[in-house]
Amino acid sequence: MAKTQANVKEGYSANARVYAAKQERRIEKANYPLAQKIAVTTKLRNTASSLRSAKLVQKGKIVKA
Amino acid sequence: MREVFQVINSMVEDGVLTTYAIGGAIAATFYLEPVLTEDVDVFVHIAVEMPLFRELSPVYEYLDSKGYQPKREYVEIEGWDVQFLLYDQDEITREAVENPNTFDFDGVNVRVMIPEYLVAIMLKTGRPKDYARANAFLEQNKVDVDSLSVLIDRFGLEEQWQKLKLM
Repeated sequence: MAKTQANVKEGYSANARVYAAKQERRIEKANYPLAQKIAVTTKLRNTASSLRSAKLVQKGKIVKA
Repeated sequence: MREVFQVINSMVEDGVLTTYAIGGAIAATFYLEPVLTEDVDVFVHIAVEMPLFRELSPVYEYLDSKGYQPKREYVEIEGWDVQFLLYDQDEITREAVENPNTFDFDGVNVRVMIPEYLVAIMLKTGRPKDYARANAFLEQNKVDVDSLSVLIDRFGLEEQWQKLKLM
């Protein structure tokens, strides 16, 4: 019983805990030193460019009903 | 990033995940100009049934065994924060995961939600950054508006759609 209550205190679901952790990481990253922010931005720019050049091999679909 | 996708695919091959699709900002980056993020959001279906609150345990245990230690609710893989999210309770996300685009990224196949589902999910989530990103998909002609309209009707997103159009 005590264990269940402890779990409930952690959050409503596994996803709620993930979103809470994401928010904490956002705050942590906002406080990065400038050099680290520049390194992250450079990494993102390089990665984004290669993601956009990925080749579509199978097209997804929309469920109509 | 290639290594991240390889690790996720190996989780399917090794039976930890039934399926997955990349969502969130990284998915958007496949179609749009870059968005500032280091988060890889992976929407998953876990292969084994787990008790409430421990649903993601097989994912973390698997990654731990491969040398990627979970830090709270995310796992750092090759310098990227990777978050695993369950989609079972959300109908739009479930359809988005089950009907994704598949890209060849540097020799690795990766399942990525299609733009129309990404925009529908953004409308449903409704944060300012979601509207901004949804707007970018429209401005850059990355969605088929007729197909998106089907999702808007089916999932009752008309109010959010009108709000987006006024922006």
